Amino acid sequence: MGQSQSLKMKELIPELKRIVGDDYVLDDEADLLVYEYDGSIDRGNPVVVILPNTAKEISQVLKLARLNSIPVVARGAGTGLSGGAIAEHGGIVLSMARMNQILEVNRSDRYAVVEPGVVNLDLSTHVASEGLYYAPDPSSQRACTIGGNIAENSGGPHCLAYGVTTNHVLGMEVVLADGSITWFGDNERDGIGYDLRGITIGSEGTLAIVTKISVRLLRLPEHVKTMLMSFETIEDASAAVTGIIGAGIVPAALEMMDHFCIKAAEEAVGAGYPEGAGAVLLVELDGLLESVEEESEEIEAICREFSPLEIRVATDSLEREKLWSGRKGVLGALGRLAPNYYLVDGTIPRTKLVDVLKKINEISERSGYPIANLLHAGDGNLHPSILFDERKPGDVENILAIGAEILRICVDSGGVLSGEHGIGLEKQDQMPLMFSEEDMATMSLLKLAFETEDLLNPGKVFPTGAGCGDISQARAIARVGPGAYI
Amino acid sequence: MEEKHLIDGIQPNQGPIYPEDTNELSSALSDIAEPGKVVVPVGGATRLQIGAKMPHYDYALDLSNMNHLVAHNSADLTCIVQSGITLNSLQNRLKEQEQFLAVDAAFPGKATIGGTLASNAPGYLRWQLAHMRDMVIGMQVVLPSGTITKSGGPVVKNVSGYDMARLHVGGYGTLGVISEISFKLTPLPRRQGSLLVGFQSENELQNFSEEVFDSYVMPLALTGMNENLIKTLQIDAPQCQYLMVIRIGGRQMAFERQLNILNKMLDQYQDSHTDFLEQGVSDRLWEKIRDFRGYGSSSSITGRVFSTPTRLRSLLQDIANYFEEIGPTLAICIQPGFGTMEFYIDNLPAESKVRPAQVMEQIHNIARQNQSHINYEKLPADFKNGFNMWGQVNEGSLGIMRSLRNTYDPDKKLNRGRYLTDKEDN
Repeated sequence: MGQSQSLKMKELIPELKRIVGDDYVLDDEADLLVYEYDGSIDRGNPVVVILPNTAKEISQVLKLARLNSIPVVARGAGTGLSGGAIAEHGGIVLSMARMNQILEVNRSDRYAVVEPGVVNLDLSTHVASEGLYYAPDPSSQRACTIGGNIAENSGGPHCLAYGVTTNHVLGMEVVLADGSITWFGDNERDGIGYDLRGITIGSEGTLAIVTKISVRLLRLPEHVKTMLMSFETIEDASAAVTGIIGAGIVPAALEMMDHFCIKAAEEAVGAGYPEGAGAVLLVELDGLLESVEEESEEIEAICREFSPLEIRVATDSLEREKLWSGRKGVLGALGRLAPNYYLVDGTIPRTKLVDVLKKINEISERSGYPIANLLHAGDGNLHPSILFDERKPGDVENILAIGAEILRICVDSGGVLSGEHGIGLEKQDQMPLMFSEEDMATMSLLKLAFETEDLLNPGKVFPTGAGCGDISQARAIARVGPGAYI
Repeated sequence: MEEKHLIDGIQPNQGPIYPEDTNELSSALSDIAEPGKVVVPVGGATRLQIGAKMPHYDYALDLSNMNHLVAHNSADLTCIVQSGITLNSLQNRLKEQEQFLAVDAAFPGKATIGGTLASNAPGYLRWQLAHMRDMVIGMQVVLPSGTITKSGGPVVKNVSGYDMARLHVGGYGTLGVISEISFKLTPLPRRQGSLLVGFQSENELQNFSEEVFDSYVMPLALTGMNENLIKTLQIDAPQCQYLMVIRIGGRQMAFERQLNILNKMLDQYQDSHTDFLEQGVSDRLWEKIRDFRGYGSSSSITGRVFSTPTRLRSLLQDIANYFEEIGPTLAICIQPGFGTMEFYIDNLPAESKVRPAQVMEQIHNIARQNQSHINYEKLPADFKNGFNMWGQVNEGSLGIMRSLRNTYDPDKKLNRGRYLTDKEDN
């Protein structure tokens, strides 16, 4: 946003304060700093941050923004990893932090209606006494919000069996770019007309602002079994994954960590992962007791074909939590291995795990940068994390190039650019790797059908016009700025 | 002209077009450039009667020759198909690898995958395995202009760009023609079977379904029906006013455990009639239930109700009371845990005390009173004039839907005047 637009925005601040209240409009430079970043490498300064409390307030803000051609970016907890909540073009950031109420829990019909600022885990905790839970569980679930999950169509370890966010949202109240308030879907599991609910989920806040969400709740399973299998090599672990899925078993979760992740997790939380293993699989089964036992026996038999170093079954909930603590804490723990890491997100066909991981290892050896591999292996979702030190000249450029190369390998293997983090700013210039110009033009028509002014989270998802090579990297580096932590 | 291309008594002005692949489909659509021409994509024509009556149409774009299984990666539990493949052809191929696509629609020997998706066909596997749109992981679509476009891909987790396939599932071919689909697949349960439970009242049926919903049993399908449908399908369930069919599956021990839970729950329903059907007999019964609307007469009216499990309960009671009052045959098939219901009305208007339009409007009203939605799928062509088959969609959503229609098909080349977005054109 240019200086003149910034000045224009400042003039609107009294009006914005009238809409949401004096305390909920932030324009002090120090306050704004908190909102310039999310969990990605990107940075962008909003001119003003607004903390609305109702859809009606958001409607009024959007009408004002439209009248003055000011971009608006909705923001949840800011845990996103692709820059979706970054105010790339300045303007207004709408923080949903105050809209954090669980409005209704309907046990009979198994749904809850929540505001977008509700923290993901809080909902499951809230309905646990009813024997229910909300299935999508991103790794950041202690902090991330359900509104943000909708924007990115978030996944999580347990999405293997139960699906990602879009599979669990029944309907949403939204505010459209013109300020009108409506519902896409409601509390029903099917409906009439185009699936506006489905097309809005994962649209990264570019089509509408979500203000209420009706989500499906599942019954807590009768039995849960968590198993840890360790293997000498990551190839053996990958082959075991292919064997499990190929045998027609879809566990609740099937996670993989390589030796870097094992080392980091052990040092950080002491999860009890075996030393010296090349990779571990964390497998969780849930459901009927008999179903879990039958499937776990088959999984053990499959894994034994690949000479596991150890197969361990959690004997109680404490041990289960301990095994999971390593997995959930591993990203933070990578800081023990290097000052910085760059987390890549791509999905490949599950049968290509061995080939792709081998190629990633070759890149690591060739470049000299260690790459820690953390995978939602059951659904082919890779998270190679490139370890580096941003203080070393050239490191940022190098790791961005490596990340792009890994994504190219994913796409060439029949995979996709993102499994659960979204495109945002991070991968927008890599979209042509996967999509033709016609594909992207067709997608951009969708945005036009919702709003013609391009004021809702502009500059996201679609390429900037540059190619996907060096220029993209240069833009990323420029955005990162000095001192950024990746 | 093929009989299957006859829609509400209207035949296309030109000969049908049978593309063999996506490129031919693209050429066909781009060649039809003259403004005002109307194209109707056709699969197996099992659901072609849905929608408002067209004044005319020019081309049937018949996809039945695009019927190949492009790829089946069984180790990955995914496949890619052309949209003209029939459900049966696909399921038979997948069965060879002990897998299936969790999509079941009526008349699967004729119904194509593309038509099933485009028309959001109802199915009974949704109880456990979710909506058919959740099985779609990628889609290739040809726009009205002939442009070939794709989204998603053959992987099971993907947030790369907009999830465009969502628009075409239930889009009735009004935004583009589906040419190829990537699906995620499901392993076939090792053992399957069904439990039949007959009840004397709708209340008992609903209570029992709620108990199942609340238990650890995870049925593959759970469907209830009224006496009219029991008789029509010639199901052996003597003295039963209502019948519930519960399809369960899984590994041996899990299967037996589910059956035990259900039987124990039934102890408190002393008067209920129960029967267990092993897989072969069970499969044949589910085929009948799946195709139940085909048992109605040629003049029958069929429709669907979208609701929540709780609302469906009161709605069902209100509709039953209404039909007791007015007389025509009402056959209903409900999915209590999912909150949906399908029905057909027969013997209308001959034995009815009121006019058909009044009956249909009153059902709309009952749905509205119960915060539910109704969509008529089949009406005799004469009844269609001026009647809103699609039911109510809120104005905000309808505005965006119209905008989508105008954006992707500004000339309304595809299915003009038939979809709810085109109501003003009728």
